[in-house]
Amino acid sequence: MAIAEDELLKWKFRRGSPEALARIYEKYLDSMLTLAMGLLNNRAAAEDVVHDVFVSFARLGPGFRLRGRLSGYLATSVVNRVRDYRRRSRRQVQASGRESRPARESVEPDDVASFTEQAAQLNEAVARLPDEQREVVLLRLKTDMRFRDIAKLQQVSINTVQGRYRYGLDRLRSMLNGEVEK
Amino acid sequence: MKPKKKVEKAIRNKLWFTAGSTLRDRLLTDVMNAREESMPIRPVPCGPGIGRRLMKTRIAKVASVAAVIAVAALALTFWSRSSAPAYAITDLPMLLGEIQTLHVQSTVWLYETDSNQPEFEQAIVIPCELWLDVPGLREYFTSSSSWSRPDGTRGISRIEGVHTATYAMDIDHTRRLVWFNKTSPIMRRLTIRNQIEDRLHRITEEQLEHFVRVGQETIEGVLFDIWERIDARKKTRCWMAPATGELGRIYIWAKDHEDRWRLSWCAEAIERDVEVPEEVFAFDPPPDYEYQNTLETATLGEGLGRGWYFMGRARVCVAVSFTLADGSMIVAWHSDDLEQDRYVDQAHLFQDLTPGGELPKLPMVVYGLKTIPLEPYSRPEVVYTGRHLAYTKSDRWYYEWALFVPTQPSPPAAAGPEVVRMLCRFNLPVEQESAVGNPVHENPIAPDEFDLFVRGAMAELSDDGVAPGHVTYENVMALARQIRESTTP
Repeated sequence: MAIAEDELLKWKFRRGSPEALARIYEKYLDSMLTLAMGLLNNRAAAEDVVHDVFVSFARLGPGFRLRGRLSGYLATSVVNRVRDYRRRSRRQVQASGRESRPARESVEPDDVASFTEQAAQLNEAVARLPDEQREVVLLRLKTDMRFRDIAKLQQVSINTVQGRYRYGLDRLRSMLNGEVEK
Repeated sequence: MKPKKKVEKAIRNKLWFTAGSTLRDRLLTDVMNAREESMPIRPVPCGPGIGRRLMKTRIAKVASVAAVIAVAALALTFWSRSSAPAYAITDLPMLLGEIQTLHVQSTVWLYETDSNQPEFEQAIVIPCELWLDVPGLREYFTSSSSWSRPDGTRGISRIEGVHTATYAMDIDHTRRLVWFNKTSPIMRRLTIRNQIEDRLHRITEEQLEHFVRVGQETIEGVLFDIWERIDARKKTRCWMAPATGELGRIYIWAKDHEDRWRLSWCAEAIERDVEVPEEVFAFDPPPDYEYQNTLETATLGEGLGRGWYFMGRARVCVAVSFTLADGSMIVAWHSDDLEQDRYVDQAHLFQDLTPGGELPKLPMVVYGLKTIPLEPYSRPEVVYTGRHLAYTKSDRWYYEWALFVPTQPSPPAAAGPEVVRMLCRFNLPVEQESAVGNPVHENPIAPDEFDLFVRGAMAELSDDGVAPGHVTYENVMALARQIRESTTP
C-alpha cells in the first residue's frame, strides 16, 4: 500500500497537488529528521537541514521527475545538505579557530524534535561512528535505502558500502554492549 | 557482546525523533509557501489512475520532427576527455539481468503526409508505457499498431495489456474490444526476461560492440555518456550514466524511403527497480467495451499459447525455441494434416527415434534452420542441421523437440540484425514443395537456465508434467558436439 501511495504521490505532486506535498511532508518528516539528527547529532542543525530539504523539494513542483523511490530521494537530499553543513562548519572553525555554534541557539519548548532517552543513547553511539559508516548505517536502517543506492551516493563500490555497514555495526555493538536490550 | 541483529533492530525501531507540533506546523507553512511561490501557473487537477491516463492522451500532432531532433542534437555536449567510465554500454546485459522492476515511458513516432498540404508532413506521436515486475511475472503495457485496408483506409490501434503469471487481458481501445487469455508460467517467465531487452529495442550483447561513445550530457544533475550505433537503416543512441549504469534515454531513428533519418521511438523515462503501484496490474477494463470472452472462459492457446498457423496443407504449431550457449538451438513443434482427422494418433511416428537420429515424419518437418541477415554487413548465412532430441505428449498432441546444430565449425557472431527461419519439408499424401518457414524466436539460454526454461517447457508440455530424463544440459551439449563433428568438414 505504501509503495502504491508513493507512486501516486509522486505523480500528483508533479501535477501541482498541494495535498500530495502535504502528505509527503507528513509521511517523511520524522524519518528525515531522525536521519539528519543521526548524521549531525545537533538538533537545531538537523531541523534546519530538514527544513531546507522540504522547502527545496516543494519548489520543484511540476518540473519534478523522479527516478526511484521518494524516500531515497529525500534521504539523499538530507545527506547532501548535511555534508554541506559540515563543510561550512569546518570552514567556520578554520576561520575563527573555534567550534561553530548550532544554526539556531534557542527554541521554544514545543518547537523541537522530541526523543526518548534510549533514542538519545543510540544517537550518541551512532554519532561516534566515522561519517561514512554513520551514513551507511542510518540510510540502510532508517530509510531502507539499498546498498547499491548508497554506493551511488557515496561514489564507492557496493562492497565498500557493505564493508562500512559491517564495521559500523561492529562498532555500535561494542559501544552499545549492555544497552541494547533495555 | 550483542548480536548485530539486535543492534540493527534497536537502530531501526528505537532510534526515532519526532517533530513537535510547533516545529511541524512551522515547517509545513514554509513548505507550502515555497510551493506557492514556485507555481508559475495554476495547478493542474489530478486525473484518474496511471493506467488510464495515457489512454486518454490525445494523439499529439507535431508539425516537424526535424525540430525535435535538432533540439536534441543541440542539447548534446560533446566531450573530449578520455576518462574511463565505471559502466560502459557493454555492461548493459549484466545490468539488465539484475532488474527486478522496470518502468519505461516512451513514444512511437509515425509520419504521414496530408493530402491537402503535400509540402508538409505530420508526425503522429503515440505515448507508450511499460511496467515490468520480474519476480511476479507481471507486465503492463500500452502500445500501438498501424493498419491499412485494401480500400485505402488506414488507422492506428491503441492497445493496452495486463499480463500476469496466470492470465492476460488485452484491450483494443480503437475497436473497443477486450479479451482474456490464460498464460503459460514458463512462457511468462521467458517473455518477462526477454521483454527487458525487447522493450529497450533489443540492445543485445552482440550488438553492443558496435556502439561508440559520442558525447556526454547532464540530465537532471546526472552525467550520462551518450552511446551511438549506426546501422544501414537504423540509428540508436543510448544515454547511460557511467557512475551507476542507469539508462537515461534511448532514441531510435530509422531511414525513410528518401534515406532521411526519422525519429521512430524514444524513451525518456527509464526507471529500474522502482516500486510498482499495485493497481497498475489490476484487471479493470472499460465496462462499455465489447468483451470477446471472460476470465472464466479464457483459454491457453496451443503450444504454450503460441497457437497454430498453416503451411499449405500442413497445420503447424511451433511451441517454443531456445538458443544454447554453443549456438545450437532447440525447437519444439507439432504439425498435422489439415485434410485428415486432426485427432489422428501420431504415436507411431515417434517410435524407435533416438537422440541424434532422424526426425519424426510429421506432416511438416523442420529439417533445418537458416539465418537470414537483414542488413548487408551481417555475417554469412548459417545453416543448422536438425536431429531428434526428444518428444513430449500434451493432451492429444505430440511435440517434437529437435536439436539444431550449425554446420559451420564456429559460426561468427552476428554483426547486425538477422532472423532464423525454419527449413520445412512435408510428408503429405500430395506433393508439397519444401519451403522456408516462419522465423523462430532465438531466446538465448545460459547453461544455468537450461533446467528452468528448457526442461521447464518440456514439463509443461507433458501430460505427466515431467521432462524426459535424458534431456540435460550436459547431454545436449555432448550430442551437439557429435552432430557437429559428423556434419562439418
